[in-house]
Amino acid sequence: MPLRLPQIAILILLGCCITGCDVPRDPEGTLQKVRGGVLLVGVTESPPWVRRTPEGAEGVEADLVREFAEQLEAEVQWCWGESEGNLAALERYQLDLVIGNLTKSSPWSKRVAFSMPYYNETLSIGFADDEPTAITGRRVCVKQGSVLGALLKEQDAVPQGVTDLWRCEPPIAAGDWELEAHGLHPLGPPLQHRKHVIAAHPGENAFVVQLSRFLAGRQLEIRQQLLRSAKPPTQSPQP
Amino acid sequence: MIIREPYRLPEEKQQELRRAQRLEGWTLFFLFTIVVVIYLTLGQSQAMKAAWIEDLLSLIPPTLFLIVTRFRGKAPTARFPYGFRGLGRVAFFGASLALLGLGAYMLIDSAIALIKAHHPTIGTIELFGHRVWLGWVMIAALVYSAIPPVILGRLKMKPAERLHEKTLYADASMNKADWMTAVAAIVGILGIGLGFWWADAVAACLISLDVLKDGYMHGKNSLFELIDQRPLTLRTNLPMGITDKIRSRLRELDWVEDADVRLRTDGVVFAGEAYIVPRDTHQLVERMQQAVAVAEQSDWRIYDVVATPVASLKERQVEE
Repeated sequence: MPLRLPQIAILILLGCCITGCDVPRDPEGTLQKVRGGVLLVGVTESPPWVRRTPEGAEGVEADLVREFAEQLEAEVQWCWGESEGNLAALERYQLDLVIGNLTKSSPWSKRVAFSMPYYNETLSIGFADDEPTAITGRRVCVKQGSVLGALLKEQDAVPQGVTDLWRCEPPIAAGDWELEAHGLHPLGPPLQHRKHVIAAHPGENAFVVQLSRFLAGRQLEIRQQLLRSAKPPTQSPQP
Repeated sequence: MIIREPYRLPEEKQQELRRAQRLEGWTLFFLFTIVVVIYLTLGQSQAMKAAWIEDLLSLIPPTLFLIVTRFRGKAPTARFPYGFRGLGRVAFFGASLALLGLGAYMLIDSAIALIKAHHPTIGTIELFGHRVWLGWVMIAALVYSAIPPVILGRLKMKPAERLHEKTLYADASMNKADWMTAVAAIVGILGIGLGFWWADAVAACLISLDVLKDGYMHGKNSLFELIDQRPLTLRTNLPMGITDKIRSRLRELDWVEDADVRLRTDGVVFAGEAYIVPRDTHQLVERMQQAVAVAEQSDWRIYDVVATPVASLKERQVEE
């Protein structure tokens, strides 16, 4: 062979050092285009993650996107639409980001780039203090149409679907932050884990890495925001 | 039913064999760790996936070697009067088909990814509190994957030559060349890092070609042994000169007018027939037994030679 193993190793290390400062890069130059420019964001309404308001978008994910754009000195343009359409547009580089309650388990994970999960949500059954925790044959309150209904049936509980969780008695099956807002304690094995992500161009690795670094370490801050958004309508006004 | 005697390896060769078995055991262990490490860092990289499949496949030859060397020495039975030495040849032929099949699948898979212009996303991972680009972790895993096979490959070369084990030799050569797979995958990932999305798929194609080449090499070796090829040297595939040696020793015997032999390989050992034209038929039985002893003592690898008296050799001989 023309080159021996130690020489190859040195070449690789050199290659890493020389290029290390600027690796990874975007094949389509997304990060450069967005910096100081426009950030096209596909949005789908999904409270409390994204809510549509006259000013634009509000909610946990919308706030994250706004702060990220600020970091890149970019102007945000909200493109409202439904999830599938937005993701298809993202795949073909018509959008820069897509938000709207996307989770890591989505089948789109192979076709677009998912950021690191900015919030890991644990969904379980919450009980009030001094309540028995057996759930077999027991009525458990759950959001109408939620997949949690099926998961409850698997555990031999009786799901009761409601449109507003504030209108029913515990035990309630919901996300960790919702249970905390209701003053309930999650007990027993979790029903589901949802890792919430933001979607970006496939293969635009510099942009994805920038986004992931921005999203890191915000689990607590986002939880606080979710708690605030979960307060019942009759309580203290929104901040 | 007359059954063959089981083959006995000379004592120092037995030690060599045990050493080879130990080395193959270590190979399995390190390859397994490599498979785990690469699996954990796969991500969306086609090249990593190809390297992982190749590492999985390279678990097969050492496993086969350990199983085959255990069972081929079993004493022949009435049902299997020629013994179990053929197991090795079939096992390796089967393994080579697996390599060829999977190599072809990998090549098609990588080519499709290239044609579909799929841009692999390589994000970040949390390491000791920092967000690190996953590509660096992948490269580190690949560097690790290059080291044990190269070292073990070199160590296995000597026992393979001393034992005349073609399969062990092929396995050692493949291990020694494993660093090329790692380099290809590393270049692929660095390519992605530099913005060349196609680098990864191209690297995967190259790795697939390497797997196909390995499958072809193993397949050729084991197929030729399955169809009773003559004894050849390990590295250079040249005639070994054992037929010449036996032939001349037989011709030296005073009662032998003319003699010739036919030999075939059977993994480590050689078996065959000796055709002798005796000067007369006096004490034919004892002399034939002497001829067999002469043949079997010519080389430690000779296993089973049957001697037959004939009137003439002319019709059977060919130029070598």
